[in-house]
Amino acid sequence: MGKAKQSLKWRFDVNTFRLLGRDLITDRITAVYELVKNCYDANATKVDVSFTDVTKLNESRKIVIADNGTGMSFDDIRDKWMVVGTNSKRTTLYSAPPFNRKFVGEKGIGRFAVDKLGERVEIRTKEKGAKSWLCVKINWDEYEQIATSTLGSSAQQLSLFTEIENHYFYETGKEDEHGTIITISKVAEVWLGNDIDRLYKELSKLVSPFYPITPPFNIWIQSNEVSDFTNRQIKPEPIKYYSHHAEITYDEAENLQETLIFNPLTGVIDKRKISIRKFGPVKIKIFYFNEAAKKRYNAAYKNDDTRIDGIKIYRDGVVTTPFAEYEAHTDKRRDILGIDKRRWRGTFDTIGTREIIGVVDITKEKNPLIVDATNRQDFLANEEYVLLKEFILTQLKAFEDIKTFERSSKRSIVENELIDAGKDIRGFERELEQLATQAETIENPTFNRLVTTLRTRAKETHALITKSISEQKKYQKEVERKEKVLYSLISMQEYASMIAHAVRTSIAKVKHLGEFIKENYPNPKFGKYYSMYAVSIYNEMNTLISVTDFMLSFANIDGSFEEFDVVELITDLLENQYETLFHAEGISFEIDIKDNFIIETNKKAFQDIFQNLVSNSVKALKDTTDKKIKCTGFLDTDKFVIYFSDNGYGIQQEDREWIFGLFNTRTAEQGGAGMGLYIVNTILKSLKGGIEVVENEFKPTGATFMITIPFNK
Amino acid sequence: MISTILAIDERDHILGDFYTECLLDLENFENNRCLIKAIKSNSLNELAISVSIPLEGGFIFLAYSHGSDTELLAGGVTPYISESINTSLFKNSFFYTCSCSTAKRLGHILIENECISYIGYKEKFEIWDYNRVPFVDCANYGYKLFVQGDDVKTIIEKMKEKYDEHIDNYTNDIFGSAHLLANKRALIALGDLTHNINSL
Amino acid sequence: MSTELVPTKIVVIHDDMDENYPLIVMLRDKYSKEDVSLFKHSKEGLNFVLDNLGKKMVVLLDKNFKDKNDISGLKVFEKIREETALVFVVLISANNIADFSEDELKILVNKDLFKLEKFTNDYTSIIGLIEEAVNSIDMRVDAAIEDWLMANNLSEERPILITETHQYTLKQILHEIRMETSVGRDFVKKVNNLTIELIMRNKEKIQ
Repeated sequence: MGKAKQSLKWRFDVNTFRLLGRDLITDRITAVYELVKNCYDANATKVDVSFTDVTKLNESRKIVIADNGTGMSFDDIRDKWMVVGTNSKRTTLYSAPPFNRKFVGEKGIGRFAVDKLGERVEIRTKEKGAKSWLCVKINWDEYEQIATSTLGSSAQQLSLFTEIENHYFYETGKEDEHGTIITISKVAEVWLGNDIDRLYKELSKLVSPFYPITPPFNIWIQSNEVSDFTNRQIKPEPIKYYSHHAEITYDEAENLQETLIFNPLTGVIDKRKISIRKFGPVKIKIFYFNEAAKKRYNAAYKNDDTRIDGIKIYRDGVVTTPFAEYEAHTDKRRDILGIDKRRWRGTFDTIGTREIIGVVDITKEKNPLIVDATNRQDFLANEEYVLLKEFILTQLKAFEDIKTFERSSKRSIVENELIDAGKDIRGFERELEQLATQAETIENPTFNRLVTTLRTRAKETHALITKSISEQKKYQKEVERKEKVLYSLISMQEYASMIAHAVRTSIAKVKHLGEFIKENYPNPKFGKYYSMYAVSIYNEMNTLISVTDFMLSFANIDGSFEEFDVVELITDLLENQYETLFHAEGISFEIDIKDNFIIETNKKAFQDIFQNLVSNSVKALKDTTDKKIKCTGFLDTDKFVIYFSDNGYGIQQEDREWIFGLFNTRTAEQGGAGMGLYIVNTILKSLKGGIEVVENEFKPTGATFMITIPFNK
Repeated sequence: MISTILAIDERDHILGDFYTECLLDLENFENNRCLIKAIKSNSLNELAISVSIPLEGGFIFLAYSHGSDTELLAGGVTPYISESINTSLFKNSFFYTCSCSTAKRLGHILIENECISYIGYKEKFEIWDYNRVPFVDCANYGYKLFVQGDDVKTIIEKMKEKYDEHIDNYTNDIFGSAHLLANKRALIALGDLTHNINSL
Repeated sequence: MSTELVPTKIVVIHDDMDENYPLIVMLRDKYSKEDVSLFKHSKEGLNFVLDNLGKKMVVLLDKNFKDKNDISGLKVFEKIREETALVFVVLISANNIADFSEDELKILVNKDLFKLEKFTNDYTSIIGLIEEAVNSIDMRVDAAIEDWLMANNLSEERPILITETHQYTLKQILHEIRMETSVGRDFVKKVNNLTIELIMRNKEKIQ
């Protein structure tokens, strides 16, 4: 007879919940966000997110997310909330009427977001018609204890996730009450005003500003400590101060999708109709801010332009673009549509995320193939998504064409006046010709001579004006294409007096060393000093030579400007000029300049800056094993910012300003004369820029310099 | 018997200690001799002075207290001998004082008022208290000499010699010597330099 | 070399010299290692001087200090002068004297700077200036008085000078001398007079 079937079951150990929750939800803003989305799915019209005592790590701190949605029954808790991996929402696509909301909480891991926020959670939930509130307490910290206590024990892990007991109980309630209240205590991190502000900003992007939903979904933030957030409703910002905008929609019945195209003849953006694309029909609204508009915006919002943050995609009225983690530097924000990346290729007229606000509206029903990737930080890169990206960028192109158009149609006042003058001259010439014809009938030689003279003059003037116009056009063109960086030499007198004191001291030292030898040699009493002093004299003279060289190079500067590509210059330096040295020293380098552009300034000065920085780094890296030099940079509206880093022995906190002084060096043993950084600082001052030591990028030791070079506007 | 009146401010809070020692030294000296009538701090005023001065005959008046150019002061403040009060009371007397500056003016006024002779100091009289003995010795020496019969001229000379004697001891107390020298140089006699105790 | 029992202290306050610097080496050779102190930071040097005001001192002072935490040489000089006129100061500068401002010169002259020299001059001449300062101090009567007073362990609290109006302790007399008040000046005058008197007397004796 056959044996009884033997079987094994899958089990989950306690660490599983960590894998599910923590590594997929990478930050706490996302965590709150996911919970709010769950409220949306539960047909809530009102959500309260409240923060109590969260500015410090004390006993009473808690975060409460309360909604007035449908609530959950015991079965719901047991069979859905406490069952990992289900997305019960997958079996139905919509929530109950009249809401008919497309479920936005995806893939059933939102509940683990709670773990990110705090160590304990209590869920109080009630459906309409139920007699009591169901309360469940889940204490993750106890799970932690169990997990860590079994670490290192024998192979068999007896504490299984599925065997941990979670306490629940009932509290009486009114029949028509409904909703869910999630209370998170033992909050993991401190939440300050800034953090709540960030959350506010992100939540305000949750609901589409243009295609709002009914029944409504309103979110309120409460904080008992931050006065700005005492009972504040989240409202999307109205968009103001833009210079251009456009909107496209579709007609499903006719299978037509609108798309934007720039009309060079009229100078405006037109709408064209094409057939609905593979990714489904979309509605898009774009607001563009040109330079003037940005200035107005910044003036109104006190330079907080974080709201002009590119294009966001909303699905069913709720945002889906996995929003980037909050970054203080705009250049580091994630840009999944790759808008900013295009600027690398060096054209001036591409638009970046800091110049537009865009809203793309899609729906689950009509654009089913646009889905989130598992890591929730991007969309799944299928064919449909790639096409959608291209489509969005095509709409952007229309605005870029506007940008180019505006630039080229800008004529200077001078040019216009010249053109008018040219017209006047032509008119004048014609009238003279008429006079000349008439003059032929009259025999008056004086008169004839006069007319001839006038005609010659007119011709000359005409030629002059034509030439001026073409010069003006050329100049205009040049100015548009690049940024000028002012370079002003300090006068020789200024320079001389700056250096004089240091040089005199150096000379006095050498003199005293020589005097000693002159007076005392060969007296054996002072034997040990003779060779010591000879070395000192030698070193001091070398320093003086560097100083003199620097003085001469200053004298030789011809002040001529030339155009060059910044990235090319730096790359050339690091790759070519220093190739042998880097190879010999085993230094690896990295260049990452976000924005490329051409500048017109004194090229030699620029090169000197980087040469000195490299030379400094090489010395600092002397004893480092895995030597690195890194140069990154980005373009801001009015300046260029460069970070230059190495992972050498770094700079002491107290030396951060001292190192820029003349003759101040900590690398004397390696031949450092204390000139390098002084030179860099001086050159940057001539460029009206600056250099300072900032927190080192490489850890544990290293140095990072931040260099700013402003443009001449 | 010649009356000797001693006005002494032995309770003065600055010089009191010094004057007390002078008093002790004087009491030691006149053990077998005529009694000095002492008017001490608690009764140092013009009334006590006028009462103590004999109605007739010459007398010796000693004043050990603070002084100024024109007055002798009790407690450094209250005049007990001054032109405006009682300088005419010292006819026929030998006036001997160890006080600051009185020789400048007061001494002359006394002489003008028929005081026969006066010995005192025309500058500040200061003590270096490292070793008080020379100062006490010099302060009292003049009186002792008068009682022994020397005339004023001789007394001055001998007083200065006494000062020198102590000054020569400088190796032990250079600053004391410096102050003694200053006092010596301020020492002066006025009036009849031939005056002696027998002519009182 | 000083023949006094108590040698003069030489305090060098300069940020461009170290222990091996020729000037320092030669100074220590001439005076002694213990008597020559070197400070690279102005505040440290000043504190040392102020802590040692009872002693005879010559200060060799740099005019400019590079470290922004250091006070200027001029400030050091002023601060010393607030406490005493009896520390002699020789000022060294790498700049031309023409670069000194009017105010700076006023302070230096009026508060009795002893000597001024350029750093670029021979160290031998700089040491010569220090020597002059040391000798000048030794010639001063009040330095001698100070010496004596410091050397003799007399009780500082007991009143020792009794004038018409006041009693002074040794400490107070020292102060009066340093601050050159009338009491202090009188005291010095008395000592001077004694000196001359004794010299004259001895002369007579010899004769």
